[in-house]
Amino acid sequence: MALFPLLSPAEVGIKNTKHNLSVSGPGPVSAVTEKQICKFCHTPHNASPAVPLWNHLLTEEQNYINYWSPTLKSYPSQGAAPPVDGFSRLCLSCHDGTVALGALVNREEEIETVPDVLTESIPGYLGTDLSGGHPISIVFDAALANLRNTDPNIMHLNWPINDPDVRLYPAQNGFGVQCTCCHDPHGGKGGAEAPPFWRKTTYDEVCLVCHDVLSTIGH
Amino acid sequence: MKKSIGIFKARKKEEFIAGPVKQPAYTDTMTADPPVPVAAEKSHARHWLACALIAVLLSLILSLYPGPLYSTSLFESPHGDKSKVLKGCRSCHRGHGVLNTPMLAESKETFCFRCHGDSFTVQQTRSQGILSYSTETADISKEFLKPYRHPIEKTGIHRHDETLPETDAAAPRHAECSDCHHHHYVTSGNKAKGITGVTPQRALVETVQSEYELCFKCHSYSANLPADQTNKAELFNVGNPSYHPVIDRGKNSFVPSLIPPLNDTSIIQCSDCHNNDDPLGPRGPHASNNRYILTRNFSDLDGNENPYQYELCYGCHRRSSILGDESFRYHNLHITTAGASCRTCHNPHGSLFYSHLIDLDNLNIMPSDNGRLEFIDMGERAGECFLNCHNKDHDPAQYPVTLPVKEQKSRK
Repeated sequence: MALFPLLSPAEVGIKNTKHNLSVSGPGPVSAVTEKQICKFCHTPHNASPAVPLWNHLLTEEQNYINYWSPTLKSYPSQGAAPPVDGFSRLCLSCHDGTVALGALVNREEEIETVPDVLTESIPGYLGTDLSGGHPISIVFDAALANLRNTDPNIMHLNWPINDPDVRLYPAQNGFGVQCTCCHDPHGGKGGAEAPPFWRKTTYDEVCLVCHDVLSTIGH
Repeated sequence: MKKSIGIFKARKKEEFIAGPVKQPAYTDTMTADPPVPVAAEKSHARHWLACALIAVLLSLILSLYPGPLYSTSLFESPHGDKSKVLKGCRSCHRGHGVLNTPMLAESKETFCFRCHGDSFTVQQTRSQGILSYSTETADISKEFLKPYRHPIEKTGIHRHDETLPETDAAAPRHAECSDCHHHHYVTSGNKAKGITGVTPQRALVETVQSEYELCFKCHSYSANLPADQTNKAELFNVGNPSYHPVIDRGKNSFVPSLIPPLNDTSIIQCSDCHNNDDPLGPRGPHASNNRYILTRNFSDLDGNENPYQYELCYGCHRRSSILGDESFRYHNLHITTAGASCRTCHNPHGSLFYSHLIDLDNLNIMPSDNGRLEFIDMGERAGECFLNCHNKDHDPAQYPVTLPVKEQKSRK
C-alpha cells in the first residue's frame, strides 16, 4: 500500500470490498466471529492448489453450462467447450453456489458465515449455468485472433494483448481468458457504472483491450 | 463547404457499395440511398480536402475492381454511435448476461425491442440512460403482431456460418432479426450491411450489395423451401423469357402502363412489393396485414374489378392503361367482364416459359379442347392463346384479329 500513495483508500486493499468475508466486511456475506480476512482464500502452508497459495475448498462441479454464440471461434459447440480451469475454478468455488463460503483447506470445520453459501438472491451469484457470460478458460493466442480476424463479418480481436491491467492468464495448455482478466479479486478501480472489482475505471475499457470494437471489417 | 465534400465522398462510397445507380423505386426501399445522416458526416467533414479527393479517386478506381470489396466498422453503425446508444458496449452487453444469449442484457426474442419496440419499453431504455432521448426509433415489435410476417417468434437457430442456401431439406426454417440485420454493422443506408448474401448464381457473398441477395438466402435454392413457395432466383433469372426487373432490366421494352418515373429500363426491389402495408409505418418486409407480406392489397382470386382489388399492381401499372387495353387488347375483357385476377394469367415474379410474365400453371386454366395449353408471343400487342377458361375455348384465341377491338369487347 505504501507503493500507491496517490490512490484513494477505496482503490487499495480488500478490506472495504465485498471479498472481505470477515466480521468487518461491508458486503452481503460476512463471518459470524472470524476476524481474519485473507484466510478465506489464502494460506501460506499446505495450500491447494499451490498457486496462488489457495485455501478455499475447490468446487467439484464439472458440468458447467458453457457460453455459446453463433460467431464463437474458440470451440465448435456448446458441448465442446474446454473445462473450466485455472483461476476461474478458484473464483467459481464460491461463486457457483456449490461450496460453503467458509469451507477451507486448512480447517476441518467450516468458518461460520452468514449466509453460508451464495444463492441466487445475492449479487455475485453465478451458479453453474455460465451460458450468458463471457467464455472462460479459453485459450487466447495468435491462432484465435487470426481465426476471427480473417472472417469478414465479425468483430476482430486485438493481438498481442499488451495492457497493464487486463492480462491473459493460464488456461488449458496456454494463456487465455479467465475471470481474473476482467476482475481483480482484491479490489478494482471501477467507477460507479463499472462492474464490481473491475480492472479499469469504465466498463468499455476492459472490453476494448481484447475486442477491436472500432476495427474495420470486410476488406 | 466541408459538409458538402463529406456528403460527396460518402455518396460515392455508398454508390460503389450498393452497385449501379438504380431508378428510384415506387416506394421507399431497404437499401435506397438516403440523405446521409449529419452525425456520421461530421467525422468525414474533418478530413482535409486533399484526403477527400484522393478517397474519391480511389473509390472510382476501386469501383472498377470486379471483386466484392467492402469494409465497415462498428463506428459507422448507429449502434456504435455513442451519441445515440449512450453506454457503448454496456448498452447491450453484460459480462454475465441472460442465460443462452451472447452476453445480452435480455433474452434474444425481446432484446432488439428494448429500442425498436413499443413506447413504454423504449421509454424505460431511455430512462436507463442507454438510448438517447434525441434518437428516434420505430416500433418494429407491433409489426410482428400482424397476420403475415417473417416468423421471428420461432426460436432462433441462426448460425453465423450456416450454409446458405440451405442444403439440408430437414433443417427448420427460421427468421431472426439478426438474419437480416447485423447487430454491429447495420447502417441506415444499408440495413443488410455485414450480412452475407446469395447471388443468382448461387454464390455466397460477404455482404449484401443488392437487396435481393439477402432475400435469396432463404427464398431461392434452399433445400428446405416450403412446398407452397418457389425458387425466386429461378423466376427472376435474366435468362427467362420474362421477369419483373429485380436482378436486371426487363425483357419487354413496350410497357405503356408503367407510371413514371418507372420505365422499361427500371430496376425494382423485393421490398417494392413486400413491405409494410402501413405507408407511415417502418419500412421493410417485416409483416403486413396483406397476404405474402404485400405492401398493398392484391387479390389472387377472380372477382369484381376495382382499384383496391389489384391495388398492388396498380401501384406501378396505371389502371387506366391496363383497362384501356393499351398493351394487351383484351385486358378489359378479361379483367372487368370476365372478372379474372391479374394472377390468373401472370406470375408476379417471372415466367420460365413465356413473355409478359404469362404463367399458365394455374388450376383455373384448362387445356384447350384440343389438349393444348400454350401462349405464343407474336410481337408487340400480338399473340395466340391455347387454353380453356370457364368453358370458353381458346384454340387459338388470336390477337389482333381482323375485327376492330371495340367490336370484340361488345361480344360476350
